[in-house]
Amino acid sequence: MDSHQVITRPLHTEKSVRDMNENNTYHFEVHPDATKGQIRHAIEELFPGRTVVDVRTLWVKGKARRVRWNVGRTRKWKKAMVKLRPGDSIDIGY
Amino acid sequence: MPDEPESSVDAAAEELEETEEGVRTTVQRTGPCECVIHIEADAEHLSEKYKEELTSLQAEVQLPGFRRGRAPVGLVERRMGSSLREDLITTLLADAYEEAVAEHELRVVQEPEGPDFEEIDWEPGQPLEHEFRCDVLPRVELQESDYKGLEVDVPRLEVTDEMIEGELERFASQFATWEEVSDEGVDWDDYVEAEVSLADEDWSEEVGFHPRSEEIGPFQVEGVKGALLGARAGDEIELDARVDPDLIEGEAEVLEGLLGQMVRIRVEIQQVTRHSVPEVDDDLAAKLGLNSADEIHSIVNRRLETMVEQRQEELLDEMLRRALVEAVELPLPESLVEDASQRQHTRRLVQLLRSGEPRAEAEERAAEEADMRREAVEFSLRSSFLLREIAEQERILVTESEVEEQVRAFAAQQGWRPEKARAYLEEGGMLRSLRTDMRESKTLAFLKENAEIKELTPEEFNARYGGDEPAAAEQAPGE
Repeated sequence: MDSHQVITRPLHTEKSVRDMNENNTYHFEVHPDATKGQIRHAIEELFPGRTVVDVRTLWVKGKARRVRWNVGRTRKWKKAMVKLRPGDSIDIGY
Repeated sequence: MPDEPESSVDAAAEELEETEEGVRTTVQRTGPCECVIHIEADAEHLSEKYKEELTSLQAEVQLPGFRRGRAPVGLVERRMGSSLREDLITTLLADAYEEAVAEHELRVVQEPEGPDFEEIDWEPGQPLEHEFRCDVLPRVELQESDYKGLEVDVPRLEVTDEMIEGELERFASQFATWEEVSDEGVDWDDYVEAEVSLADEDWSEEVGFHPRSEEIGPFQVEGVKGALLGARAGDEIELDARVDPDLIEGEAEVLEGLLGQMVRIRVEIQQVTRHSVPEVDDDLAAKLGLNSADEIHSIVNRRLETMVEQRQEELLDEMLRRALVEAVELPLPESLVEDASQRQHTRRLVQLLRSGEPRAEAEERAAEEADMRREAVEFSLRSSFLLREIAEQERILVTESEVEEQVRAFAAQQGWRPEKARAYLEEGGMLRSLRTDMRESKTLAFLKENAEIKELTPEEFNARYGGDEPAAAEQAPGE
């Protein structure tokens, strides 16, 4: 899998900003089939010179959505939290 | 006080400069009716302002994934930075522009266009420079001698026998009737009823027409004059005519195949009627509920006298405006003249097209009149501008009760309530024009009081002013 396919987008939320500032950990949405190893490799390839020290992943459950009497769910997706070596950083736009 | 604008005037260069919180504004007159407002802002001042704006925006904005005011400044800047920068620059330039206009009492004719952000590529940390070019009304310092004691000639108009005759004719023509003519031939202005048929086909129709129109039913007839004039009811005439598709009414299968072709038609005249204008005599007076023809004469006389008086007043106003414009040299902003001329040009073109003139000819004619129209526009603008200046200098004002009186008169004319008339005038922006007109009239009355008016006979007047006179003094009033 190509690195650009592994990393879908960076996440911009209050929690991700706090984690970035306090733990040097960046949050991303990743491909549902991506493994921790692939994620580590993709980050190091996309942002050369950075070293990943830890990758944690989790599934974000889809939310229930109802259209009149039809109940459905939004899609579930995979989140990755990537901790970098102290001193490394990623420019995610701010 | 550091926050107060400081201004200094460099009279030699005609530049005026002021400094306020890192923004410098320079007003430079580049011509009698042109000026350039140059605005400069320090990088430091701008960056500080930008930061302030960004912080206050960040405190208010709510982005997805963040509660209100919790989104990082960097993210807010990335999402909204460019519109924030545009807002900041627009506000800063607009404030500086308005301050410069107020400070230097510039009377701007047309507001300049706002900044073009494709050209201004400002980033935080950079200074900013921008120029507004504007057309302004010139500064005029009127002396009392410029408008008091104006010497004007005006023709002494009187009601002439010719005018009475013409007016009586117009009056009588309102009561004209169509009467059958049996002992005379068809004349140019008569109305003819006839049966028209095709000489070679089985088709006929009863039609009514005026010979002047050269149209008989669905046919366009050239040379109708020679063939038809003088003919009488009962006569039968043959003519060559063209079948005009625009004139065909209803269904006519026979004519469909002849569209645009020349055909031979037969016109059998059945009746000829003529417009008959009654004599102004006691009979007409009795029909109108009056005692005698003298009463009609006196009504027409009074009407003419009023019209002549009005005409004389109009001529006097016109001559006063002329004298004023000649006495004071006043340059005009080109854009103002150009816009007004263009509007007049369009109006004239529409008028010509509506009167049925072909487009190419109408455009040519409107273009030929352009110089004359421009001259008239310049005269009108100059005189209005000078009258306004005089009104301001002499404190000639229009009071609200005077406006109200006019509104009431208008309401009475229309049969409306005064409130409705006022709302109508306000909505169309006409109340403002009414005030301006009233102020001009009052100023003209003031000029009249202070002018030296010399009355001339129409002949003397025409000899002195010739064709250059605004409206021929001998022109019949009301025409």
